[in-house]
Order: sequence, then C-alpha cells, then structure tokens
Amino acid sequence: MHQLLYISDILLQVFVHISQLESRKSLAALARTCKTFHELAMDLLWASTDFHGIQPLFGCVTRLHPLIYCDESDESDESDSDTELKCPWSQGVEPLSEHEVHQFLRHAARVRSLDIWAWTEHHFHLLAVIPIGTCVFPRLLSLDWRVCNDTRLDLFLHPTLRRCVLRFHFPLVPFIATYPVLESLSIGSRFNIEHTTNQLSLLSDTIRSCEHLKHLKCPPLDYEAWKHLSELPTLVTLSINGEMDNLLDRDNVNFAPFLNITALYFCVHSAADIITLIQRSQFPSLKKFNMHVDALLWAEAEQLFHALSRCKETLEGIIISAQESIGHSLTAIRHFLCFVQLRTLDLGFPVHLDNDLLLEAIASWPYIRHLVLGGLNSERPTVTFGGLFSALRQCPHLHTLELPIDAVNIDIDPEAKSFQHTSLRYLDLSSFSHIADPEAVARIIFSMFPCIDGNGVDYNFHEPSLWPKVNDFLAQFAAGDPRIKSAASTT
Amino acid sequence: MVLLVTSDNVQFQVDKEVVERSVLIKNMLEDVGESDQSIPLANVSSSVLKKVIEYCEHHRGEPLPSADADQNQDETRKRTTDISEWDQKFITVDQEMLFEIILAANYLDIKSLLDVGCKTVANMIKGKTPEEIRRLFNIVNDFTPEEEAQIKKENEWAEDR
Repeated sequence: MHQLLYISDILLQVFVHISQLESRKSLAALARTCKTFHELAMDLLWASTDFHGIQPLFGCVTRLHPLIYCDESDESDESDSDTELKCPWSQGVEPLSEHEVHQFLRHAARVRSLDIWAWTEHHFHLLAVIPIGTCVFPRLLSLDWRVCNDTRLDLFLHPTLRRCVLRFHFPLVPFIATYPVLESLSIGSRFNIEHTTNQLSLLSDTIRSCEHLKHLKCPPLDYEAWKHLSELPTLVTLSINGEMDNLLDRDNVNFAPFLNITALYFCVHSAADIITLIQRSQFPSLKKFNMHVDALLWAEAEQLFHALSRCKETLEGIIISAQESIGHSLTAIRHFLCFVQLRTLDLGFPVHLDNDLLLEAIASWPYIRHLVLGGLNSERPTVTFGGLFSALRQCPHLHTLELPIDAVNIDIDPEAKSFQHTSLRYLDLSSFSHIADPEAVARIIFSMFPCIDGNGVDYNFHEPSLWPKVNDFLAQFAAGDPRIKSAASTT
Repeated sequence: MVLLVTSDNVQFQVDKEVVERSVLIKNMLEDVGESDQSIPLANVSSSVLKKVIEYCEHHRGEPLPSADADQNQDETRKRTTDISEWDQKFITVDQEMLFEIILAANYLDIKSLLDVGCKTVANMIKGKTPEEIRRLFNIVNDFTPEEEAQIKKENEWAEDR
C-alpha cells in the first residue's frame, strides 16, 4: 500500500470528490476496504442520509434490520414513500430498548444534514425511550423538517444547527433554546401560515437568540424581534409570510439601520406593518422589494411608495401585488421615476399610464429588463403602439414586457418597419387590452419584435376570442418567414 | 530564475512566475528575498519535479485558487466534474507517478494540481467493489469477515446509488 494512502488530508480530498460524484455506493465500498479508509469514508457517507432520513439509523438495530431491508427485492409499482405511508415497516413494532438505542445511535454523531419526511412520523414511537431534549445528533448542521407536527422534533433541534427549515409551522415546544450559529431559518409557507400568539412569542425568543442569521423566512414578528434583526449585520434576506398584522406600533418604532439586508419579501394580510417598517427604518443596501398583500388601499400604497423612495439609489427590483386593490392609482408610476437602478418593476394593481408617462418612465430607468404593469383597471388603456415604440427605443435591453394597450386605435404603419426591438423575448399586451383587428396587431408585433416567443401574447378577459387569434397569425407569419426561424434559434 | 534541487540532486532552473504556483516556494522566496541560493526539495525526485514544472508552465499566469473557494460548494462541485482535456492527458501516467505527483503537489502546496490528482484517483475508485479497490491499490484487508459483514449491513441503505 502506497504511503499516499495513509495521509488522511489527501484521502479526505479523494473521498470528498467521490461524495461529490454522488456515489454513495463507492463510499460504502471504501468503508469496507480497510481500517485506514473506514472512519473517513463512514464520516462522509453518513454526513447526509438524503431522503432516507433517520431510517439508516434504524437499520443499525439488529432487530429492525430485516424489517427495513427484507422487502427491497419485491417488485412494486408504488414508490417507497407511498408504501411507507400506507404500511410502514414499524407498524406494531415494539419501541427500542436501551441497548437498541445504542445501536441506533452508533453513527448518529456522523450525521451533518437531515431531511425528515412526513412518513418518518410513523417510526417515532420506536424512540420513546430516548428522553425529551436528548442531544442525538451532536454535529447536525442542517435540518429540513417536513413532518406536520412537532413529535420528537426535540431530538433534532440542536444549538449546532446552521440551517433549519420547518416546512409547516414554528413548533410550540418548551425546549426551543438558543441557536448561536444558525445562519438560515425558514418557517412555514404562504399556504400554511396560521400561528398562535404563543408560537409567535417563542419564535421571537428564538430569533433574538440568533446572532449570525443571514437568511430568515418566518411569520410576522413582534417589535423585539425586529429590533434584534435591525442590529444583526449578518442579515441579508428577510421574508415574512403570515396573517397576523399590526404587530408594530408606528409611533414607537426605533430600529437600528438594517445595514446589509439586500432583499425583503412580504406575503401578508395587510401592508400596515410593512409601511411602518419601511417608513421608520433604514435599508441602505436594499436591492429587492417584493410584497404581496390581500388588500391594498390606495392611500396605503402612496405611503409605501413614498417610504420606498428612500432606497431609490439601491433598489433594482420592485414587485408589488394585491389580491384586492381599492381605488386606482393616478400617480404610482411617478413615484417610481426616481428609482434609477431599476431592473425589474412588476406592479400587480391598476396604474394610470399614457404615452407621455410611459416615455418619461422608460427614460428614467436605463437598466430596466423586466416591466410588468397590470391589474384590473376600469380605465380604458391609453397607451398606443406608437407610444409604446417611442418608449421602447429608450430601453434596448428590455427582456419582458406586460402592460395594457389600446390595440383598437392603431397609430403606426407596420409596413414602414422603422423600428425593431431585438432584445424583447416575452411580450404580453393582452391583459385588459382592447383589440379590434387581430391580424393588424399580429403584423405589428411580428415586424417590430423579431425575437419574441409567439406564445407571449396571452388571452384577454374582455375579448377572449380575439387575442388568441393574434397568436395564430404570428404562427402563420413565422412559418412563412425564415428570418424568424433564425432569430428564434439564436435565443 | 529560481534554482531548485531535487532529492536525487538534480538542478532545475525555473522561471519565478512558474515556480510561484507553489505556495510553499512562493512563501520561501518572499521570506528570503532576492537571492541566488538554490531551494532544496528533499521530498521531490527529478522525474516528478519535471512533471510538476510541466504542469506549472502550462498553467502559468492563471489565477491561483482563493482560500475561500473551498467553502463555496457550487464551485467545488463544478471543479469536481471538470478536468480539462490538457490536465487529463497530463495526469495519464502510471499509478506510482500519479501518487508521487499528488504527494509533491501536497508538499509544494499547488492546490490545482493536488485537485487534479485527487479527482483522478476518485474517478479510478468510483463504481468499484471493496475487493477491486484493494487489488487496484495493493491494500490488505484488515477486517475480519464478521466486521466486514457488519459494516455492509449498516451501510445497506447506501447501495441505491
């Protein structure tokens, strides 16, 4: 055996490459090759059990091994997880004895990353003998908890965690303590956002124990938690999803500047707390602001836009939408003219726009790539093709465009071919736009936008039969024009 | 130019820019300053140093890997899958020479060469059984049959890929 194979630093590099080749089988083979390789290979092999979760640990228990692996040769059309859910191998099996717990824990200290899937819940009764709060995985760095309740979550929440994802909710458990090295915490989703006051209070306590958070996604926070976050120089992205609102008292907000936050995402019921936060705080590094609210009063929107303008030098992306917006904005676009760094602007509520304003706006955003101005509007669109093309001359790099247009009064001659926009790939003029002559509209789009995807023109709520016809004409024109084929192949 | 002297007492005159791909030698030159003194490389033979210099010559002027590159998982993964065509041809040598190049890269602290060598060994191992690995590297099985069976049993979950 060559001396190289005794040098653990070099062996480790070789084995790391093997683990990155996604070859668990090869690591398992190395672990059996000789004693020199064994520990290193086992450490890497067991560092992540992937979708197997804690099942490999149960497999180390002599009594359970045949239950887990005996059926593997059986042919079945069902996936492993389907079978697990319908008839888990642990059904009716006695909990582990103390001796068996030692077998279960034999390799637990090697585990660095765990995904705990819903079906694991069926096996938790086997661990009844392990006292609550026992440190089972002393080197665990990453946890993805996909179980919809807190049963035995205590075994996985360790102060060693750097990344923690709780797919459903924040747990209501008394052992939530401190997570001094936690860098990424994600709780719940926009589809599962109900939390009790007690849960939110525990969440606040937990967040205040985190000194190194970089990424946080969680339900709405109380004042103390926000204050702590404002003092965290490590925090880069923050996402708030949930239904509880008005947790911040606008007259008593006194946060430090959120120095390094580059992205804020909100999916909440109302904009009240967001407005308070943006008005009363500083975000000197903010680049992205995304907000979706159930309802947005126009007066609130005005306040929000005004507050956001304090980040006009840094903001590159603004996405704002509302399930229901009350009133419609005559001045929204004017509020955004000051954002000179904008790459993305997506407003999912009605805004007033005419040819002059569109031209002024586009001229104000030299870097704009993605522009979506939508929302159900009682106003008839006043931007015409002539106005649109005047504006588009100012932004040769635009990639995506959606806005309502007056496609009835055609004010340009498509045959003149005075202008072509060659960067635009996605175009949707159809939402809330009126149209009379689909062929004429298709001819304009075809001649002016040689690189768009023909499917970009979507359906229309007012005249559902006409906009799809635009696509039909575009397809016909493209089929007869080799220039279009070559343009498409270069995208 | 820098004068290197190998373990078998062969001298190599190498461009400073080339030889400074070795962090060890770069640090030594910085510590010593301008000097005509030779640098003895007691752990590297002439045949191996010749290959190492060939590698450094080819990669002359390329940026050295940064210290924090190892922490970037995506970058590491990308590096794993890519061995350039030239590097592959360069590292196609017998096993003894491959191991000596890796040892020299480790000693001289030439990260990119060490990386190419370790990836090559990893590719040699991938997909082999324990017995095949033992044969490949002339390794004696020091497990008892019972120990080996126990390890196999515990790692049964890992047989899927």
